[in-house]
This record gives sequence, structure tokens and C-alpha cells, in this order.
Amino acid sequence: MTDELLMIAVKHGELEKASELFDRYHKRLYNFFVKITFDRELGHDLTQNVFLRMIRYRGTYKEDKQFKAWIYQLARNIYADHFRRNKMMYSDYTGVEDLKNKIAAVDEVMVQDEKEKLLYISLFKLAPEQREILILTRFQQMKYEEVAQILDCSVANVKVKVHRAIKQLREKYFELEKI
Amino acid sequence: MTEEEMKDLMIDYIDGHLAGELKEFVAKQIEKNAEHKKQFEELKRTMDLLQYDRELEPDCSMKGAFEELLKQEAGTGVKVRTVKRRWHFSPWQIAASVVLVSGLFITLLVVQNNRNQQQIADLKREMEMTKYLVIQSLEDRSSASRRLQAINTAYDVKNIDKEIINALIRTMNNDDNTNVRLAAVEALVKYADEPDVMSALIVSMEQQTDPLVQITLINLMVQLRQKGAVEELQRIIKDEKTIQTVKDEAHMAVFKLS
Repeated sequence: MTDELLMIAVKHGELEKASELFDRYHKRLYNFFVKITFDRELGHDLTQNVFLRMIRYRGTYKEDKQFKAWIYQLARNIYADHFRRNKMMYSDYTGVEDLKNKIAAVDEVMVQDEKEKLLYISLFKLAPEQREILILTRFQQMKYEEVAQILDCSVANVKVKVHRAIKQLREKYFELEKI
Repeated sequence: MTEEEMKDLMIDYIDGHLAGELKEFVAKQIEKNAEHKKQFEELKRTMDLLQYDRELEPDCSMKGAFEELLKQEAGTGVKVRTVKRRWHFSPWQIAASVVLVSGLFITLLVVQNNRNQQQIADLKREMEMTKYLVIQSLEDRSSASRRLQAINTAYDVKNIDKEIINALIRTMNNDDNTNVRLAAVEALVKYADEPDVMSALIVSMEQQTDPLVQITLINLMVQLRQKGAVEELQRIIKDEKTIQTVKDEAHMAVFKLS
């Protein structure tokens, strides 16, 4: 059964179908949140929040809308609202040591492997929107067409954003290598 | 070809998105140009680095909490009901109604036409007077409350005039009083569909000196999903004079609009 059919069933009262959608999406949404916030507990809470909203606002799901785009749009809004309320931005962490500690708190292994450590520190030094586009396209292997639906922009625009983020990541990565 | 365009091609080349002559062209550039070769190697290493992402396992308690939520939600039993009304009319009834309504409508049109001419003239006069009063009041430096009143009047005007819009834009950008500037923003939002008004709102974000007005405008851009504001927001972020709270709002706005 497709995601869309499951969500339509949920919308029409078959709430037990939501369980299947949870199984399909909770891990990727959790990874999306943890890698954008670098906070495991927060990632856990925000992921739960997405499914809470999915149930509470099931009536607003438009039946011709791709479910993946809809749920990721919920996730983006939850992330943005959380950080607006808490006034805590990525710019609060700028030093490499700060970032290393923050990433170690997410997962000890992440800082033990040199490549992983470099990846996540460089990633965290990007603006959230650049981090997000790399998480979606490179970590979660989403097609540009899918990301375009989530971000509500053209496919060409997604490509421009991805390229910009890669170039920026390259700068951050080689700055780190010099240290 | 610019350096940036060359880098874009290299990213496509590494991703395997190039074919034919373009692919050969990029390969040759990398081979013969030392600077391009260096850039290519750095981009390749960066893109290889992205493959080191490790998928994290969520806490298994998450599923239990979700099942609990589903149970609670099912327990509330809230269902959306739609009430369907059914009307039954015979074709004769429908035809008679159409004739009756059309006849009434034509009679009313004739009677109303003369009245309308008079009303239009009155309205025009009234609008001219309102416009004059609003513009005069907005320029009254001595009284902020009079300026606020003028903005409220402008807000209620149904078919607003370009001159009033321009006066509101001037007020939003130049008035000494923050409350007056905020009220002007609020009044202008009503006309945000007009390209001139939207450009004025975007430009004003950086011109404003009061963080309160800046934040109001930034949030407005998100609310209106104004992607055209991203460039201006980036300028605000880079501007050393911008205070941190405003920068944070601008960052979040860029995120939401990107």
C-alpha cells in the first residue's frame, strides 16, 4: 500500500494505518533532525512531534499531495518553530572543540572515526538550510524532484542549492584540514 | 566560463551527470589545468566525505509512545461529519424561478442605474477627501496619535490610492515613532500583492533601525512566503550592525524560505 493511500485511510478515521507510516518514516525523520540539530534528545522529541502533528492535522492532508513531501514539510516547520521559540542558533557553536563535544554527545563513534568527525564538524559549520539540503539529497538519497516538492521550489533551484552547499562544505572541510 | 560555472560542471562530473562532449571537455580541463585539477580533487574529496554519514538508530521507546498516542486519539472518537442537504425541485419550478428572478433583476438594474451614478460621484468626492486627510495627517510630525489614526483610516479604505500607498511607505521608512512605523507595515501588508508594495517591504527590512520593526518585517516575509526576500535577508545576516536576535530571525527566515 502506498504512503498516500495509507494517509488517506488515516484521514478518514483508520488511525491504525498510521502505525505503518510511522515505521516507514520515523528513522529517516529522526536522522534528519539529529543531523540538523546535533542533539539526540531534541531529535527524538521533534520526531515525535511530527507524528503527533500528522495525527492531529490529518484532516489537512490533501489527497493529491505526495505524502513524503507533506511529512517533511511538517518536519521543517517543526524544526524552524522550535529554534525560533528557543532562540538558539547554529551560530552559538563556532569553535571546533565546541562542535567536537557537541557531536560526541550525539554519538561517541562519530568523533572516533576521523572522516566522520570531519564530515559532521564541517556540516555543522554550514547554514541550516545548506545542511538540510545535503541531508536530504546526499544522506537520505532523495531525488531533486522530491526535494523540490518539499522546499516548494523548482528542480533547477534545488540543484543550485546542492551545488552551493557542496562548495561551502568544501571550504569548511579544507579550513579544518589546515588546523 | 567562470570559475563557479566550472566548479558546477565538476560537481556534475563527479556525480556522473555529464555525458558526451561536455564530459570530455571537463575531463580535459582537469587534466591540463593545474588549478582546475586542484579544485576537482578538493571537490571529489568533499563529496566522498559525504559518504561517511552514519545512520543513527532512534530510541525504541518512540514507537510505544506513538502507539499510546494513537490509542488516545482513537479514544476521543472525533469524527468529521459532513451534512448533506438534498433539494428536490421539478423542472417547472426551476423554470418559473429563473423567469421570476430574471424579471426582478432587470427591473432593479434600471432603477439602480440612476442611483449608482449619483453614488459613484459621491464616493469619488469622499475618497478624494479621505486621501487628502490621510496624507496630511501622516505628515503631521507633531502628533503620533494623529498619524496612527491616519494609518487606521488608510487601512479601512477599500480601493486604496497609489498616493496613499506611497505615503504609507514613506511613513514605514522614515517616521520617528516605532508604533507608527509598525502600524504602517500592518496597513501595507493588505496591499502586499502589489509588486511595488512588496519591494518596499523587502527593502525596508534593512533600512529599519529598530529591531522590533525589522523582526516584524522578517516574519512577514515568511508568512507571505516571499522567496524574493532571501537576498535582502542574507545582507541583513552579513551586516555587522545587525544585532544577534535579528540575525537569528533572518537565519530562520532564510531557512523557511529556502
